[in-house]
Formats: sequence, C-alpha cells, structure tokens
Amino acid sequence: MDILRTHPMVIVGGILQENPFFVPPDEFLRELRGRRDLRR
Amino acid sequence: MGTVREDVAANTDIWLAGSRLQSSRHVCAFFRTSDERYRVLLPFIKEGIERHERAFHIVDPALRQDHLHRLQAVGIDTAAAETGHQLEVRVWEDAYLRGGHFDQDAMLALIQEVLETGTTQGFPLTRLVAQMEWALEDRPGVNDLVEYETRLNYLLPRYGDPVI
Repeated sequence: MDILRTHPMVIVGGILQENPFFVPPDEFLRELRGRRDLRR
Repeated sequence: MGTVREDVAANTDIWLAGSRLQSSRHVCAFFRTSDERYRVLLPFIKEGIERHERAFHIVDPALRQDHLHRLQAVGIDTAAAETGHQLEVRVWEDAYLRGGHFDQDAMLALIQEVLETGTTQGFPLTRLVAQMEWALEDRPGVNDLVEYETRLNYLLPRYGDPVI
C-alpha cells in the first residue's frame, strides 16, 4: 500500500485517475522518519 | 518563458489509458495480466515514438525479447529506434538492481541522467516505462523503494517527462 501512496496518478482497471491515496513527499518522508525513530 | 523543450512538453497532449496526462506525470500502474499491461501501454509508447520522443524502458530480463516483440507488433521498428538512441530497453540488473541490490541514491541519479540525456540528445520528451515486479521479490535494498518513489516526486516535476 505504501507504494501506491507515492504516486500522484494511478492506473487501475485500465483507467488513469488521480490517486486519492497520494501523500506529498515532504509529508511522506516525515512519516518514514517517524517510523524509523519508533523502531530505534 | 520556458525553453522550447518545456513548451513542447507542456503544450502537447500526452494520452495514457484513455485520458490526457496533466502536470502530474508519475504514474503507478497495476495490471492483472501482461496482455492488459500492453493494451494500456502500447498506444502510449507508440504515440511517443511517432512524435520522435525518447522511450526508456526498464524490463524483467526474462521478458526483454517479449517486450521488443510487443513493440514490433504495433509497427515500431525497434532496431532502428535503438540504433538512433530513440529507444533504450534496459533490464533490471542494468537499472534498479545494478551491483545486485537496489540503491535508491544511485537509481535517482540514473533517472535524472536518463531524463537529461533525452534533452541533450534533442528529444522533446522522454517517456519512461518501468516494470517493477522485482520489488515483490526479496531483493537486497528493496525496503528503500518507498523512500525512493516518494523522492522521485521532487525530481520528476522539474522535467515533465512521464514516468510509469
């Protein structure tokens, strides 16, 4: 699911659409950093 | 006032999966079968070749010949396109998995180099298509893929080239 959140556009069922699950990179990198900190 | 290349890229409609691509051109594509993949991607690839744009493809090494045959089946002269640097079809080991593992910094540098090479070679646009099934396997470095993909969202808007 994470991979889906890194793409602003998505093709599913042969149809191109804006991806409602997209997370902008600033926010996503913050989230990834947060997860890494939790694991430490 | 943009460069000529930016103007061409901005003003020419790019069709993909039945829609016109807008400014967001980083696309995640899910296909159930190989036939579905090519039904969706071949018109997009062919449109670029006919417009004298560059095509950069990254494919499963086991499917490279099949990929070329699929392109040839819709009338693309792959040998001529490869000779003229219009088409480059690399296998995973020469892109995502160089040195046997995935290195996100090396891959970001490669994508940047590929897109800039297209420009320096005079192509108005590069259409990059990558098969990603290797990411479903337990490959070294694969855990960095999500971070790489999100970092691509800083890089790609600077170029305007579609990346599928």
